[in-house]
Amino acid sequence: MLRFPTCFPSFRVVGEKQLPQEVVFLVWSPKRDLIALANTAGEVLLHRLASFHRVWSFPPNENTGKEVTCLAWRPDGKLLAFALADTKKIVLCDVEKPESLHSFSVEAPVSCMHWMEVTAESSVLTSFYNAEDESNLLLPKLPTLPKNYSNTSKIFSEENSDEIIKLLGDVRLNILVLGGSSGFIELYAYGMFKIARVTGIVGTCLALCLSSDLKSLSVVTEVSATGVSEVSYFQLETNLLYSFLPEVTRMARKFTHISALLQYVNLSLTCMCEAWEEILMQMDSRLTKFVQEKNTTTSVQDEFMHLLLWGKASAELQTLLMNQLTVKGLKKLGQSIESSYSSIQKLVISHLQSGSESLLYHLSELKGMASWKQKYEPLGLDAAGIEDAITAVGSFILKANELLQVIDSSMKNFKAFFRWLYVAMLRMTEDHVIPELNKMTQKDITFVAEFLTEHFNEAPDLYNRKGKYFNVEKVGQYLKDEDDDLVSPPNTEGNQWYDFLQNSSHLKESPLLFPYYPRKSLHFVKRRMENIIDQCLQKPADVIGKSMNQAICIPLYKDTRSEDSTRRLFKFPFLWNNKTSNLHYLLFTILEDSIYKMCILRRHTDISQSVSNGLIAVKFGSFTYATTEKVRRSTYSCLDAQFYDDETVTVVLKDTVGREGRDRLLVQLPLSSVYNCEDSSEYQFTGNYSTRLDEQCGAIPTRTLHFEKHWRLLESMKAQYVAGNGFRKVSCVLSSNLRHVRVFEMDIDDEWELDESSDDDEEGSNKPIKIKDEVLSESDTESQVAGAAASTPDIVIKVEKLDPELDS
Amino acid sequence: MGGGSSLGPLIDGAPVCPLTSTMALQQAQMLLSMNSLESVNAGVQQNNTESFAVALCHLAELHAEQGCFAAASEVLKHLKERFPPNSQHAQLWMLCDQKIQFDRAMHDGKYHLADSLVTGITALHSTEGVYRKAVVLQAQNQMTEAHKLLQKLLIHCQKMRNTEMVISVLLSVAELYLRSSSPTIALPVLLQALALSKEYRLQYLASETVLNLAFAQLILGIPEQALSLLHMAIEPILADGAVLDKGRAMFLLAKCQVASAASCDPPNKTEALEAAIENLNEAKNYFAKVDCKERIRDVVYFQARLYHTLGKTQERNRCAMLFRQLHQELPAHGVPLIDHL
Repeated sequence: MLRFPTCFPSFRVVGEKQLPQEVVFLVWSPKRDLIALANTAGEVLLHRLASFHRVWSFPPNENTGKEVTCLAWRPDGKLLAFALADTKKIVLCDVEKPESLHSFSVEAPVSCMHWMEVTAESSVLTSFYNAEDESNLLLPKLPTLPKNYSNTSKIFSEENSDEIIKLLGDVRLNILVLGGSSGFIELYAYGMFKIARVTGIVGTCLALCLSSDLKSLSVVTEVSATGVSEVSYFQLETNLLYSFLPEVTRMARKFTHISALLQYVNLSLTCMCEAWEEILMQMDSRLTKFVQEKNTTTSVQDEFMHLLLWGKASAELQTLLMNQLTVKGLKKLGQSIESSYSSIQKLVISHLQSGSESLLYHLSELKGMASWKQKYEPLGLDAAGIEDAITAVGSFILKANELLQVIDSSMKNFKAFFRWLYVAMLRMTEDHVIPELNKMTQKDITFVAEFLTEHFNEAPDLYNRKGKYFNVEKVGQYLKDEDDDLVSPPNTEGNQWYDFLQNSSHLKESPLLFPYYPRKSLHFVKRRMENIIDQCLQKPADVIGKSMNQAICIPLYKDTRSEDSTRRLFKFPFLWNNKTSNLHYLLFTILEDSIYKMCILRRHTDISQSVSNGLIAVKFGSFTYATTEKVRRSTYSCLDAQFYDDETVTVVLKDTVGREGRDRLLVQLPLSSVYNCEDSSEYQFTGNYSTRLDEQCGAIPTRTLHFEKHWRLLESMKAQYVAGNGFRKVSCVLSSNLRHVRVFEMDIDDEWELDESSDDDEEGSNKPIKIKDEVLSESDTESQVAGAAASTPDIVIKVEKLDPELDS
Repeated sequence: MGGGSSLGPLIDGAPVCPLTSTMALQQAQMLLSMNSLESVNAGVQQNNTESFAVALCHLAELHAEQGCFAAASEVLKHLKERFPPNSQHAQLWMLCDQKIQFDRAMHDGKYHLADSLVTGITALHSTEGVYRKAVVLQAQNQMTEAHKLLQKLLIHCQKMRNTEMVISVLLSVAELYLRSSSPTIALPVLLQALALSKEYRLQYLASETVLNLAFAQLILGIPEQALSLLHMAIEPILADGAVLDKGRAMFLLAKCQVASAASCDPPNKTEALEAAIENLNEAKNYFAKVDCKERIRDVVYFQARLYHTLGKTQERNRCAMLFRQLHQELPAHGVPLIDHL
C-alpha cells in the first residue's frame, strides 16, 4: 500500500520560455491568466498562461516612447498602464488590443506605479452614475474627428461620452499612483485625471501602495549619495481622500469629461488649421509684390477701380493679371478658397461648436458642485475660478461664431470678385466671354467696388508687421497661433447689441455676460480658455497633495548592491495592502552575516492605530523532501519575494552552498506561520524605528522556518525574480539573465501528479514513485488559504527560536 | 413661492428650450452677437426680429434671477427702444417686465403689489396670469381660493399640453398641501410632477420637485431620507438656479441637517449644527442678493436658535437682534416657519 507522503513536489510547471529580449518588468493581470511583460527593446507584451503563448505586443514607437519602466493593471484587469522614461509619458492600453486609449505626460520619468481600487461602496455613488447618464441624454453626440488624429488618443477621436464612461469603468474610484525621481508622486483618478501631487518626499520612489480604504499611502524611496543609497519607508496620511470619497469620485469623473472635451476642441481646431492652405495667401502676396515692383503712382485700388469702371487696365496690372495670376491660376485659387473655407466652416459648426457647448454644460455642472462649499471647498474646488472658466468658454464660442460669419461673408465676396475678374481677364485675352457671365448689374458693380475699397487698401503699417500690404484673406488670421491682434478685426459698428452694451452702465459689468475680444484670434481665445480651465482643474491636485502629510518615516537600510541597474527595475522592496485587515506590508532584505534575510514590516493603514509584530525577520532553516523525508539544510539567501495573496508570500531563495543549477528554490511562505503562533508575543521588535534598521539587526526578532511542503527546487535555472498571482494561483519565475521565464501553477490539481522534473536530493540516487496527495489538494482550496494555515494538519511548519541547531 | 417663475422663459413660441441657464445665456449671446451680414443693403431694421426680442428677454430674466436687477432693467429699456410699445413684438418684453416686477414684489413680501400686477400679466398671457394669481392667493393664506384656481388651471393646461405649466401648477398644489400640514397628500402630486419633468427632460423643474419632495420628507420626520434626496437636487440648483432657489435649497439643507442631528451623539451633533449654521449663512447671502427680507428673517431666527444650542451667546445675541429688527419691519403672516420651503 502506498502511503501518503507528508509532502511532495509542489507547483507544477505549466510553461517555460526563453525570450529573445531581456525582460525588465512583469506583472500578472489581477483577474485573468494573462501576464504583461516589458522588455529592453521597449515592447510591451501580453502573454497567456497556457504555454506562455503571446497574445499581443505593443511595439515601441516615436510617439509613445521606447523605454518602458514599469507596468500596472487596472484592478478590474481591463486596462494596462505603462510608463515610458524617454518621453515621460503614461500610456493606457486596452487588454483586448495593443492600442493606446489614452496617454498623458508627466514631469519626471516614472519609476514605479500602483493602481488601486477603493473597496468602499456607497449609495451616493450610484446616484452620481445616474447623473452622468442624464448628461448623455441631454447633450448631442459629438461627431468623430478625421482618422489621422485618432492615433494620438483614441478616446478623444471618437469623442462621445459613452466612450469616456466606458474608459472610466466602474463608478467605484480607482487611483493610479505614480512615483518617480526626486520625490515625484502623483495620484491619477481612474488612471486619467490628476487628483493629487504629493510634495515633501525626498528620493526616488522604489515602491508605492495606496491602501484601498484610502487612509494612507506607503512609499519606499531611495536617496543615493556617492554610490551608496539609503532606503526609507514613508507613510502618508490621506484622510482627505478617505473622508471625501464620494466627492472626490464625482469630481474626478467630471474632470475627466472636461479634459477630454478640451482635448476634442483642441483637435478640432488643429483640423481647421490644416484645412486652411497657404495657397489662400496667394492673392495677398501677389498684390504686395505688385506694389513693390510697380513704378506708377496710382494705388492698387485705383488700378482695379479703373479696370472696373473703364474696362481697361494699365500695363502693369495687365502683366500682373495675365502673366502672374493667369486665368488658370485664378480658377484654381477660386476653387481652393471655396473648398478650404467650406471644410473649415463644417468643422466649426459640427465639431468646434458642439464640443465647446458640451464643455460649457459640464463646467456649469462643476460650478454647481463648487458652490456646495461644504462638500467641495476642502478639495480645492473654487467656484469663482469655475465661473471664470465658464465665461472663457462662452467667449470662445462667441469667437468661433464670429469666424463663421467671416467665412460666410468672405465666400460671398470672393465669389463676386473672382467672377468679375475672370470676365475682365477673358476680355484682355480677347477670348470669347459667355454671355451669362458678362451680365453685370449695377448692384454687382457696387458690390465689387465696395469690396475693392474695403480690401485693396494699401496698408504700410501692415507691411511692417506682416511683410505684406494687403489682407484680402481674412480667415487665416483667426487660425494663427500668435499673440498678435487680428490684422483686420471684424466691424462691430452697426451691431445694436454691442452699441447698447458699450453704452450701458450696469450690464457692461454683468458677470453673466461673456466678454468679447474683437481684436484677438480664435487661437488666442482658445489658449486663454485652456489656461483658465487648467488652473481650475489643477488646484484640487495641489490642495489634496498638500493635505497628504508624511506621518511616519522609517529609515530601512543602506544599499550597496552593485547589480543595481537591473535590480532597480524590479519590485524588491515590495509593498502590499491587505484589504480585509487594513494593513500595509513591506517586504525587504537586509544583509546580515553575508546573506540576505527577508524582513516583513507591517503597519496599520490608519496611522493612529498600531499593530503587533510590526517588524519581523524570516530565516529559512530547512526543507524536507517530499518523497524521501530527507532534509535539506543550508544557508539560504532571499533573492526576491512578493505577496501571492493576503496570506502567502512567494519567495525565491538561493542556497549559498548549493551547486549551480540546483541552488534556487521557490517557496510559498504562509504568513500565518510568521504571525499566528502562540509565541508571537516573544517576537517583538526591541529597537527604535528612528534609527536605520540595518544598524540594529540584533533588535529585529528573527523567526526561522522549516518547510515540509510548498517549496520546489528550481532546476537548471538561475532564478532571480518572481511574480505571483494568487487570484489565478500561478507564479512566474524569471532568471537572472532576464530572458528565461518559467510559469508554475501553484495550486495542485486533483490528479495523480507525475513529476518529471525530479525533485530528489543532492545525490539524486533514488527516484521515488510520485503519488497523489489528496490531503494536500484539499488543503490548497481557497478557504484553507484564507484560514489559519498553522491549524491545518498537513502544513507542518516547525517554528524554531532564534538559533536552530544546524545539524543533519 | 413661484416654482415655475424661476425657470426662465415660459413665453409661448420661445425658439429654444435651453438645458440650463448657462446654456441659455450662451445661446442668447451668440444670437445677439451676430453681425447682420446684409447691413450694407438692408439697414438697421434687420435685427429687429422676434428672435432678437426673445433673446433679449431671456437675458433680462436671467439677470433678474441672479439678482442683477439694474442690468435687467437696462436690457428692458433697450428692448423698449428697439421694439416700441405698439410694435409687433412689444408684448414679449412687456410680459417679461411684468413677470420680473411680480417676482420682486413676491420676494419682498409685497403681495398687494404683486396682486395689482396680475391684471397686466393676464392681459398679455392668460395662463400665466391665472397661475400668478393663484401664487398670490396662496401667499396671502387664501388656501381654498388658491386651490380652486389651481385645479381649474391644471385641467386647462393639461388640455393645452402645456407641460411646463402643468408641472409648475402641480408644484404649487403640492406646496399648498405642505403648507396645510398634509404632506401625505402632497407626495403623490410631487411624484406626478417628477415623472412629468423627467419624461420631458425638464431638468430644472425636476430639481425643484426633488427639493419639495425632500421638504415633504422632512415634515414627515425622516430627515435622513430627505438629506440623501437633497444630494440629487442641490447641484443642479446651485449650478443654474435662480438665486432665490439656491437660498431655499441651502436653507432646506440646513433644516434637514439639524433635524437629523437630533439622533446623533454630542460631538457629532455639534459638528452637524456647525455645518448647518454655515449653510444658513450661505442661504442668507443668497437671499440678500434678491432682497428677500422675510426669508432672511427666518434664517436669522434659525441661526439664533442653533447658536443658543451650541452655547455661543455672543453670536446668538447678534442674530437675535437682527431678527428683532427685521421682525419689526415686516408684518408676520402667522405662518409657522416649518411650513414652507
